[in-house]
Amino acid sequence: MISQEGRVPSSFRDPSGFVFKRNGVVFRQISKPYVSEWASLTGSGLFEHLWNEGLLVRHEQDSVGLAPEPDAVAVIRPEPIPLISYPWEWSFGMLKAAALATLNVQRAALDKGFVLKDASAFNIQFLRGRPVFIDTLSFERWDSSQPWIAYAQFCRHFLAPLALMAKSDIRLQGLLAAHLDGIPLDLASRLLPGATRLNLGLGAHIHLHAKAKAGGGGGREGAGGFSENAMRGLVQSLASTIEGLDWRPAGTEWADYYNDTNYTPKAAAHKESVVKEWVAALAGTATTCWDLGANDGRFSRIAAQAGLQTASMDMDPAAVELAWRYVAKSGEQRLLPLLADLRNPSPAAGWMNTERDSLLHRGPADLVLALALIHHLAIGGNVPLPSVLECLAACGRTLIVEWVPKDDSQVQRMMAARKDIFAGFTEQAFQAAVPSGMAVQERVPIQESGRVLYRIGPK
Amino acid sequence: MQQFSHLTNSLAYIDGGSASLIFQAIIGGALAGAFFLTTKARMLAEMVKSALHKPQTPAK
Repeated sequence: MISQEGRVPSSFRDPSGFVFKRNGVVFRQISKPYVSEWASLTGSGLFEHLWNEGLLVRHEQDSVGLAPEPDAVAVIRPEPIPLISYPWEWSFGMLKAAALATLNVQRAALDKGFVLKDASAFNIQFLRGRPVFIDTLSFERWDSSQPWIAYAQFCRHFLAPLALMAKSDIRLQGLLAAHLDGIPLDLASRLLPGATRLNLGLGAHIHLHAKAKAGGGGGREGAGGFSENAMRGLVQSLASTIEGLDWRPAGTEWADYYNDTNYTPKAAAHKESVVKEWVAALAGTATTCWDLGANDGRFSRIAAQAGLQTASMDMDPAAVELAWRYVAKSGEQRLLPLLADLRNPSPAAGWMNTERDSLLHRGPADLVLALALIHHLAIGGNVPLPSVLECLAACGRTLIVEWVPKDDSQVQRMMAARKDIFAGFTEQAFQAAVPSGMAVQERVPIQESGRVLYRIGPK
Repeated sequence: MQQFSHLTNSLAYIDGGSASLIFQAIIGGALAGAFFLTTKARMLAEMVKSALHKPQTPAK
């Protein structure tokens, strides 16, 4: 849950400091236990280097008087992240980029005499189309005789899920939502194909590592025997293992959606021009957009290009991967592709159910696009139309919704093997289901199509 | 708009995973060796490359 003021519920583990809010602005208190590290860090040039490389979220120093707790030694104000997202919501390419960004942060830290004391995937967020490290207090002085304390966490949070997605099944990413501290290595080792034992990186960092963990261990002090070259070799080995993992988005449900629609060229062009016009009209007042059922993000780009911070959400990993590849290639800064199934959106998770917000709690956006989606929820998911509209209204203040009638060929295809229990799926019922605080502002039938675009906003 | 919220998750700080540390110590020698060799190989490749691209002294 996002507290409106005071300490942010997720920020409690690290004695070095915590995140808090004042008047809706996010700050971070640096506490006494971290004072000497903080002094070394700020004088080391590491922050400036990471900022220039776009690897660390920027922050400004602020008045220590803002600190809510007495042991503060400094207060910083980090740059806001438009929408917080979680590793199970990222595509394969996003998780891979996040992993490599973490290793690049580690490399830069080593060059300045520091080391990452944790390597959680939650320490990465996506800002301006790139993964950035957000935990400014994750650095400690590097003792080159000690192994990397965050190595196992890195393997659980990044390497294990990426290997499972690439080598076993892309859907195994879902394990990240169940295992908030990353996928246990013994589980990953069991789920990976036997041939991965022959892969030098996966064999060592997952299979042998899992075996070593099963055997137990002494303590941090007992490890020792490491060296600077060993640490750099470890980072190099992890990076090359991750770089060697790949997944090609094909063969899933939606990856070829735009080659399999029933729009004529004229209908597709008309739909696009209406959406463009409505989004442009809203762009002056709206700053955020959620495109639900976005597929590869074709319409999300319209919102992003109009200046809205746009989350492009789809339930299909291939579609989200394609959207990410577009972001990575084009440099589009306002688009965040996310894996999300509106029929089962990300729940609140973690300690006291407050560490990680549910998807709906991270809204509402100013604008929601729900194009060619409604039949999937109402007919594919058996969700009654009033509930569909209620959900969309919970996601956004203004809605652009495409009504898809029952005689549409796509709907007919969905119903081909099903009993028709959808007598209530009519445009009239759709209009009646608009929530009480909202009203239809515009209705435009799409040319050469039975589909209709609706703009629905506050009364 | 939601801002910056979930920043700290220093699980590794709490649970270093002692077996992982010992495992690193065991493979540390191999990692260090691999790093040393690749660094030297890269340096050598750069030396060869720069030697090949050295501008020729114009003939008198």
